[in-house]
Amino acid sequence: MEMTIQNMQLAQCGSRSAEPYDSDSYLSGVKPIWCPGCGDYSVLTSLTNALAYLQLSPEQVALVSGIGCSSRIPAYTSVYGFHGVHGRALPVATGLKITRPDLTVLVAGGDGDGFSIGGNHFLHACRRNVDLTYIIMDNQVYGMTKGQASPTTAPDWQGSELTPHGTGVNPFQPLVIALASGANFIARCFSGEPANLAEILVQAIQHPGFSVVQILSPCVTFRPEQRQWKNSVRMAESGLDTDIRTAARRLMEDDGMTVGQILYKGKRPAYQPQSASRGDIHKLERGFVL
Amino acid sequence: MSEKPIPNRSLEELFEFARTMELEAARRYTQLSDMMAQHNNSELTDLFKRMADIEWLHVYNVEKARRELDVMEGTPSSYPGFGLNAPEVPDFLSMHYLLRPYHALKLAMQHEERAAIFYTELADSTENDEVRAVALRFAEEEKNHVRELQQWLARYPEPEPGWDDDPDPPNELE
Ligand SMILES: Cc1ncc(C[n+]2csc(CCOP(=O)(O)OP(=O)(O)O)c2C)c(N)n1
Ligand code: SF4
Repeated sequence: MEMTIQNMQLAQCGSRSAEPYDSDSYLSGVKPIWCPGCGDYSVLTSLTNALAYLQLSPEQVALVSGIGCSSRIPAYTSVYGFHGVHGRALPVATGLKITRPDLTVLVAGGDGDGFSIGGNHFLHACRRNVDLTYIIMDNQVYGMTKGQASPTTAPDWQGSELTPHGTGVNPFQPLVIALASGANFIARCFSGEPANLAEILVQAIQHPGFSVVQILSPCVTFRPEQRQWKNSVRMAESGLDTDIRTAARRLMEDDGMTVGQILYKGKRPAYQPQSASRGDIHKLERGFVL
Repeated sequence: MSEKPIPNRSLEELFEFARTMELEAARRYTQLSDMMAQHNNSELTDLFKRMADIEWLHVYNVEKARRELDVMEGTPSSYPGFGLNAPEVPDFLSMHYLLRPYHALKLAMQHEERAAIFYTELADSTENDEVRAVALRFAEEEKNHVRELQQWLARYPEPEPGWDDDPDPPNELE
């Protein structure tokens, strides 16, 4: 462990039978440049806390992202990181998990990265059900490119000069689509509830197959009104539906602000080709034929 | 959904909670200081750094009290997210790059007040005399922190409305 001032102070605080990793073990020295107040800070904290709870060694974990403010997250962690191409985090992560099933592979990004340019990959990642945990920091806007509407933006949002009268089109329902396409674990959380988020992330990582965790994560710069999400989200009363029809009804009837619970947990076995085909690119490709 | 006092905690659990809360507060203030450094708010960088140092001192004090009373160490983290929402830990969402010391001290004070209330409620709800005594001691310490912050805050007048106006915001739209 790096001997920082804090570690020294901690050491002086008494001899504790400490576990090898605490949440700081998963942070790199790179300081986030997100805007103060951005929800993504909390996501980073919950994620490092979840990894510490699981006591996964940093070299056992890979975090793959696309492009966007939220997609910067791998740089801030000490696990293996891949800051990829816009919308292509899922195919990169899929390839990694197939060839290195021993790694815990996490995927992260925004609603633009995952549902706009990466939308098609999202559908097929749900179908394939590779053992990945997909963390979507949904702020209903393209933060990095300065505030354009994204697929999850409400049709009447007029905050962008590109859509002065709103988009007028129906917002994408990521969790409904995930359920219909075969995702094996579905949850919605709020970055303002970091303890709950850490708990759900632990379960998502532990559950086999493709786990989708949508996190309402305010963009305080281009959607300042999202600071009020802390007053408008509702903690779900109960979750853990293994019955797909109940989960579908719950997701269809919801206004998107119910957070804090697992909304569906399936039993499909994770997709993993036979070890013999690993390393043989042609055999791997055949496994992916649609 | 902040932490609620759970009645009938053991003394070990109480110490574990207190230590984790102070530790998370120290981590959070360090992160807030780094955040402000990235955005060139040097006053708040320093202030949050000082808050982090103070929280580290509190971690030390909790450990010292534990040793004095000969209380066993508990399990480091009993559930995922343990301490992240603890009453003394400020949240990221209330941050703004133009915050002033007044806001930061006010925020810190609110969190120390929450911690004092938490320990007082815990003392009221427990049936264990030892736990009650320690919870009341912690509540008293938190109240002392509130008083100290009040004195510190008195040096800073409340900023006028419009403190967050920026004629040249870093992320201005074209
Ligand atoms: C191929 C390609 N097209 C467009 C862009 C420009 N671009 C960068 S980030 C981004 C959207 C980011 O939005 P989101 O994924 O929601 O992330 P956020 O910044 O809100 O966290 C876009 C369109 C790009 N980098 N590459
Ligand atoms: S622009 Fe929005 S999403 Fe990007 S860092 Fe700032 S608050 Fe976060």
